[in-house]
Amino acid sequence: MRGYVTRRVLALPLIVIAVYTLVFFLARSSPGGPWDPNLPVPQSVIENLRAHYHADEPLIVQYWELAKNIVLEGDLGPSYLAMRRNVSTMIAEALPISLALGAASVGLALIVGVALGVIAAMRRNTSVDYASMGLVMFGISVPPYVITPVLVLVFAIWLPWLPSQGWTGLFSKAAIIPVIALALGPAATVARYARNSVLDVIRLDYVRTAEAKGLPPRVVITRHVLRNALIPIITVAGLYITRTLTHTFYVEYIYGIPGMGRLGVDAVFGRDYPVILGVSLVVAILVAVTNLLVDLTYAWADPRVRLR
Amino acid sequence: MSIKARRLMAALVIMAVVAAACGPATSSSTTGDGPGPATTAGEGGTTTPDSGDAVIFRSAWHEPTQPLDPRQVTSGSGEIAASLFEGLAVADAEGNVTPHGATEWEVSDDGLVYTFHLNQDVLWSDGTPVTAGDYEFSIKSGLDPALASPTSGNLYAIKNAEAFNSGEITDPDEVGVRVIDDYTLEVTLEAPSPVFLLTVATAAPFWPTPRHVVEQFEEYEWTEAENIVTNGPFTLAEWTHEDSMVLVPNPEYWGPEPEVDEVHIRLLADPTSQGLPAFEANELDYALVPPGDLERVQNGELADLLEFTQVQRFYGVYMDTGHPPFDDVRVRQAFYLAIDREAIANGVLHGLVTPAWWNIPHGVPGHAPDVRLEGTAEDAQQLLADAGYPDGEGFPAQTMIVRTNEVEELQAQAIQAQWSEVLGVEIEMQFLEPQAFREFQNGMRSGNDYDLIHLSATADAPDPSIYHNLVIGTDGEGYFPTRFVDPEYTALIEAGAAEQDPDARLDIYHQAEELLIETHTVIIPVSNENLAYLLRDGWTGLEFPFGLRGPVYDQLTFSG
Amino acid sequence: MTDTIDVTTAPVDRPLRVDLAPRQMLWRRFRRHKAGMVALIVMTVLVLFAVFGPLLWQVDYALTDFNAIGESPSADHPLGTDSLGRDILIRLMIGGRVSLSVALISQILAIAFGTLLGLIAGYTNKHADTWIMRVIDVIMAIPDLLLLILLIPVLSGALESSWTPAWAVTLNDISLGTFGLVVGIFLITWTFVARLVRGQVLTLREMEFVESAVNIGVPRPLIMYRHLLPNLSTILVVAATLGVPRGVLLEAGISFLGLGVSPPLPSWGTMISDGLSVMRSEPHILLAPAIVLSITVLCLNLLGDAIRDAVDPRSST
Repeated sequence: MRGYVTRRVLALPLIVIAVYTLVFFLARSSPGGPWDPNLPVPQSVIENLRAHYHADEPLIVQYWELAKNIVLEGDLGPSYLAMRRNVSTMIAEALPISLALGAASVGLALIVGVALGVIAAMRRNTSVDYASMGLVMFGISVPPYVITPVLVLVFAIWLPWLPSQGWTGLFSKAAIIPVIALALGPAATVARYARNSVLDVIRLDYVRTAEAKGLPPRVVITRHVLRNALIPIITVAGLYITRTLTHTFYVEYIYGIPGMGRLGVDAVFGRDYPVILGVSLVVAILVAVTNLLVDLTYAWADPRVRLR
Repeated sequence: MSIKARRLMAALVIMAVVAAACGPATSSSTTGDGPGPATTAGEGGTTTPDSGDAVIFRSAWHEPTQPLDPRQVTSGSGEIAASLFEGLAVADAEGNVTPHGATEWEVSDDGLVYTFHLNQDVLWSDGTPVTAGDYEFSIKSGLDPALASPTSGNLYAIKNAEAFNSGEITDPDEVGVRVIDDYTLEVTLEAPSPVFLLTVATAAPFWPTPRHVVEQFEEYEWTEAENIVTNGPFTLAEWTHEDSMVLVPNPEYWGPEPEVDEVHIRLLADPTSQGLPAFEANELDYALVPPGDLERVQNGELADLLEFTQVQRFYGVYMDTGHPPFDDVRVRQAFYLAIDREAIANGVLHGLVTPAWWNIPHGVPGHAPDVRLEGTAEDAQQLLADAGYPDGEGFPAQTMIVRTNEVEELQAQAIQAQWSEVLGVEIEMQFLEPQAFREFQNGMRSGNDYDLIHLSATADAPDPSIYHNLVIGTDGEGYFPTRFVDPEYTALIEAGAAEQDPDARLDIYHQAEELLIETHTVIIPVSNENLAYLLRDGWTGLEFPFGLRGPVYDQLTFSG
Repeated sequence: MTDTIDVTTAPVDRPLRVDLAPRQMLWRRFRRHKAGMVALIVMTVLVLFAVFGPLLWQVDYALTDFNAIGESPSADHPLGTDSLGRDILIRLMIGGRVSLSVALISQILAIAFGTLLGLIAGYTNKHADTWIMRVIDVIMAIPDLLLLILLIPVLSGALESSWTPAWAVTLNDISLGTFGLVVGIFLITWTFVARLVRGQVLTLREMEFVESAVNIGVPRPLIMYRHLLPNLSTILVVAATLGVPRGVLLEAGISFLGLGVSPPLPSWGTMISDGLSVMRSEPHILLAPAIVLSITVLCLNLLGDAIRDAVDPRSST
């Protein structure tokens, strides 16, 4: 077990280095450059710009220099497009917004998903169960770039209750649509896991005993079933956290939220290499750390999982 | 520890991780909440612009993509910077230049030496006088290769500017700019130029830069709200990146003080599409109207607030005339005539563009609405038949390159459909996202062949030579290469560039227009751009400076 | 390790318990899954709609009509027209062809390549295994959308460059410019197949029939071909049931962001993105593709569920 943990933790930087390498060369191989002269610009101006950003140096030198700066100073270098601001600063501004959005929607997804799953499991094979699972299938199938505009259409345009775009903080009306749009998918996944694991747990002896003892169903559910049924839900956390990260790209882009997703999409369209690289690295680290934490927790919680 | 207990602990650990992720996020999002224009519009709420005593105008733009530093202001930051800084002179839409930061100037007889006498009333917003040294600093440090300014090319008319900027010479004192005294600046040119004063009036690198502030800070930190000093009608009071800006009148401004007390600029990802919903929610007093919403706005309750302003932008199709089929003028004219420009401008784009038959777009001196190739759709069919392709038969496969951009995509697809309908020619389309499009153009410039390209060109100064000498160029090797070679045309535009008399100059470019469009039909203009915007009731005086897609606020008045 | 596949709750963490029941048995079990049957019928209709619809509804999908821009449904245009006056019904059909074929072809490639690498990783030497798994780890460490966003411009750039082999350019032309999209989606989805296959191979190689084949000296490639491959069919069906909806969503997503198919060729993703800018005035332009896409993915997921239940009845509850 300890060997496994050490190996997994040591593998983390290797993954990050590999991601850095992959993204660096992918981004640099895309056509186009960062400068958009509307009108003729003298060649010497372009040369100066290239020199300023070290774009005139061999790729391998750029690769190494940037890596050095990132590791030693946490400095991702200047952005090409956004005011030549430092990418680290831009990410530092965008990341909290995406994290707030992500945490809120994962939290909402857990609550709604567990509730829905438990209800479906308790009313197994009734219309309530079928309706819940239909809802779940819907949640799993409808992508964020469909649900976000539809929510905007219904709740911001037809019924003008909510803003149709923008970000004014997590505790404002503007956060409702993006949080719901992001929570839908994970909530459905959680509900499915919750239903299955509740059904698994219900069959176990101690639950039957508790029922036989005549404990009221609510007590059985909260005290015996839920507690154990939650474990598998937690262990798939990596799955829906990663998905939420991906979905922020669409939701932030559509809803105009200045988070990591929009930063990434804008950077790709503007060929802002340093930002592309920064966003990818941060996202990759988040994914890797989440997965590691989830795996370790899972292993630790359930000794039946044998890790080599 | 029992299995059950361990599982519970595990669940707690995950919960703690989620909670930790929530922690800092929540606090920072509340700070993001603070300066948003919607929440700070005066003491009395968000609906009325002048609640309390302050007259507040709520506008929208995007985060400046270049520093708000006069030496580096480009189209990515010009709309904001235009309210903050100003230079020696100003130009009107006809290209007439009048003194502004200078009181007067003299030009030497050989047209090489310009002596500017500065207006001594002009102060920086910290009360320091704007001196000749500030202008000299702008020019010399703006040309420093280490600064890598994207706009330094605007200064190349000055003696040795290009040599210094490209590193050929290293002593900035060799650049033709000299401080005679605090209020007298002397500029020496490489060669006499009829447009030099126009450039001084329109190009940001000729604005002064507050050296005494710049040198206190690293890189661009001096442009942050807490540090910046400006010499224009406004100064920057607050700036939360990617979120909002607040402009307030510059207390030291020498000219008339703006009526508006605060301008709250919301920084949106895409002000064109996101401004309108915010306007409809009464969070803004000004918003651009995107093409997709224009028809609805025109027919809706906001129709009275809708206004249009011209943008000096050319939209049209360029052809590679260096190889068949577009080396044949009849083919080019057939394609020119087959387009129903009215249908595109009014039917597809609802007035966001004006039909254009000419090269120099509306709003630019030299623009001549009489320049056009006359003809009908039948003429177009006849011309194509004469060229050997009756009903489009046998016409070789051709590809049109189009940039992905809402207006350009719609227009290009409309053009393609009309060519297909009128001429029976099926043109393939290749849509390139902006960066790939740019790369394609670089390829064109380095000699790659192409068939057709749908493009736009915006001038940054009211000067007709931009659309001929720079964009078309001599021997068809301009910024957008057409490979069109015609000695008569080349001689004309070279004469235009050298002509010092403004009227004679315009006359030359009129001839060039006729030659380019009516005789040789080298390019296929389709439309010129308009901006559609909404301005809240009671506000007047929103101005759009030349070449900018965003307004300035110094003339704004509010009448309840 | 938790997988990033997100479309269902398929048993990715534990080895799939493959039931080697005869085909008729599987079909009988599948039929019992009511939602699956409904999904099968709807999906069949959708496929027929996309494949044969354009033969019945013969309208040019790129034909713009300036007198009928953004019109609501009418007899001439049963689903109305878009912001260029193009018929939305035909564009939905053609968009369906694009979306479904991109997803299907990329998944066929992913399954072929993923199986090959999964076999190599699971049944050759340790080094190959380590390397393949590391590559997979890296690819899976980057969210699929981000990776696709990075890959697509490189691929389309490569198609423009001089060293591109002629066959790739031809394929791109034949596929109306979707070749890069297919390759991009394939490149990021094979990893999932490879991991599933590797897991299954690790189980199979311990089984008696494989061990005895090794003992009598059958060469490895032959064992892989004759003994391992046939026993992978079920897991590959499972991989396909997960992969195809994922492919549809990736294609639509990347086209939504404007990096997918090139206009005027429609894809459900580009149609949604077109509709987004005019949804205030003409919501039907947004809703039509949004609904069809959602129904398609829903059906594919339900079908996948039913198929998985059929091949692994114990997984269902």
